[in-house]
Amino acid sequence: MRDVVITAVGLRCAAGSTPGLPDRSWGRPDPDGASLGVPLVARVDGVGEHVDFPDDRKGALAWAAAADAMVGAPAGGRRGVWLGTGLSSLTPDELVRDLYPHLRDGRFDRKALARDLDPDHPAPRRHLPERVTQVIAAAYGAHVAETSFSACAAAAMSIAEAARAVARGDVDMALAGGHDAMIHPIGLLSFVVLGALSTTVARPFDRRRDGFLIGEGAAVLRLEAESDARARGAPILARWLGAGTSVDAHNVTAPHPDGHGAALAMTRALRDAGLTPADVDYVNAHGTGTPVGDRAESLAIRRVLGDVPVSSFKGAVGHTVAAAGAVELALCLACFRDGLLPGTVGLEEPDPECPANVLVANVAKRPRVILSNSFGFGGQNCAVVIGAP
Amino acid sequence: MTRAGVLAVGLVTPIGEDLPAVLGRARAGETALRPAPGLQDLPDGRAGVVEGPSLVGWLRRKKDARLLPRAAELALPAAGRALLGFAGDFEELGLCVAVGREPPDEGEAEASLAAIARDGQLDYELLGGPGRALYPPLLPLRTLPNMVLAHVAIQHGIRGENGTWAGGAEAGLQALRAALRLVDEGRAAYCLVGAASSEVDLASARDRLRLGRTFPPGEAAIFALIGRGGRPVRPDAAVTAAMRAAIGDCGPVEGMYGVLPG
Repeated sequence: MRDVVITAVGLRCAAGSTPGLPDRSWGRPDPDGASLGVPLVARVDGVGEHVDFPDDRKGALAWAAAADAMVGAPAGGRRGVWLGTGLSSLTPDELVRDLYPHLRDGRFDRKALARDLDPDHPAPRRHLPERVTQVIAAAYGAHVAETSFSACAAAAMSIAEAARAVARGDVDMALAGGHDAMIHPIGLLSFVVLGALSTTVARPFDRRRDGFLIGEGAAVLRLEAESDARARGAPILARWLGAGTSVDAHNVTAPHPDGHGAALAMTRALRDAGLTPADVDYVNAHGTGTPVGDRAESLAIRRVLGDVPVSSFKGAVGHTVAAAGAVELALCLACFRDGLLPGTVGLEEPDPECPANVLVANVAKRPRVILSNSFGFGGQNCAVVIGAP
Repeated sequence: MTRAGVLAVGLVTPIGEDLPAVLGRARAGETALRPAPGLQDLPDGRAGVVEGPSLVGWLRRKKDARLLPRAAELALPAAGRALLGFAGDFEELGLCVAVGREPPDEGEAEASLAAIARDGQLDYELLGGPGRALYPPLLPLRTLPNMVLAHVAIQHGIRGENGTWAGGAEAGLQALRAALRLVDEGRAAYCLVGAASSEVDLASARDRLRLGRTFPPGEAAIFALIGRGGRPVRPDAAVTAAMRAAIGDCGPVEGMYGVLPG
């Protein structure tokens, strides 16, 4: 197996497109959230619709991130694309163009729907979960295109699969990450009815936390064999060390209350990386800001990794859902570059029920090893471990 | 390379739930494609629809039935049959699942979506009022494709390395390759791998036609327990083609019919 490194990153999140440690919340009031009682959302600025992804914002975000990750990429070679994706849901455009013309007396006219087979509408293509991966793979000559649909763990799982493919020599270069964009009326509604969103501000691990700030974004990492990268003098942003996954097998919405599944994922990631708990300098927590989730994760971190410093980016850039594992790993790269462990934006009163060592403010320390957690609805968990270049 | 192969198979299809019989019927040219409820107004209203399946014996808590997306209803008996007699450690059992597109969200949400329309446009004031009040709270849980994996894991206490792949017929083979690597690389001694998909509702079938996919849709699930020492996995194009003709186009499930019994 070959050693794997991260040589480039493309990022689109509310805090911008350059990996850095966000020091404030990027949540802003938004008309899509206002009527649903969602006070803030973390939108990405500066990314418009892409011609290959009409009415598909997550596709446009992924395209932009992938293009940045390809800057300076070596020519040729065997390439693969692994991306995590989220729900397409109904967009306002789809409702207005595709469904509402067939609304009769408060019901959809099914005969009329069945006759309306207009092939030019973007909705059917947008509903194909693999399409974004395949379009990007085709654009960059990749012969492997895999799409993970593992909820909020999708991006992290995609990156792990890609890293293993590079390590085995299946491909010379991998683009890996995730994308999601749920800040639209029906996307927000689906989180609102689950009671998942904060009605105030997101406060991961805080005593007053009441849910998460919804974000959107995409991040794509370029992974290569370390020997290839060093041979051509490519910049190395981080070393890939390992990953572990697990399933809670507990409940489709709530995590295992003592974080059993989360602990399994972290333990397996350490084993895969050949590390001990003492080797980990910082944990980038999933840390959404939900009462149950933060407690379960902090219990698991304490049990597996002891007093290691922990923080969450989600108070700053929001929960980017299926993209979260990639967006947050991209932000973690700045920890190596800047010699800082990030604090948790939004955290003011650490919850004693969350026993992990959660950082309120930045700490000046250059980490050698970072573990990043991503946990999804349905209980799918993934922990990845990266090392300083 | 560690030699990994198939130890057991379970499936749920429109032409049966017993592997030898299903394969025999498919090869004999029997078809389950017939006019399907809800699709009668489409140009070709046929589909391969599973009758049932019965969840008796495959669902530990009856109340969980209301949480199941259709693909999970198909997956639970298939996965359960593949695990019959498995005496290994479920905590370390791998789980790789391929899924189709997300179930459409306008069916159950029809009342909510209709209530937020005003003059053919989405009205934001109505969204926060009747739209929110009428939106089915459990619907988001049924539209997430990875709920197939979640429900299989919950029913059997599976906590091993895992993943959910999406993307047409190729997804089934991607899940299968991932499962083989799990065993090969020693990250799991055994892995339950499978695919479950259902696209026999109007919205999915309509989308298929608009994408130029004119072959009738189907629904099915197949799961295999793989581990060291089993019979090697041999994708079999003839079986896949016969199965497709018999039950319709099931996306990732179609890819998985390359798995032969051990």
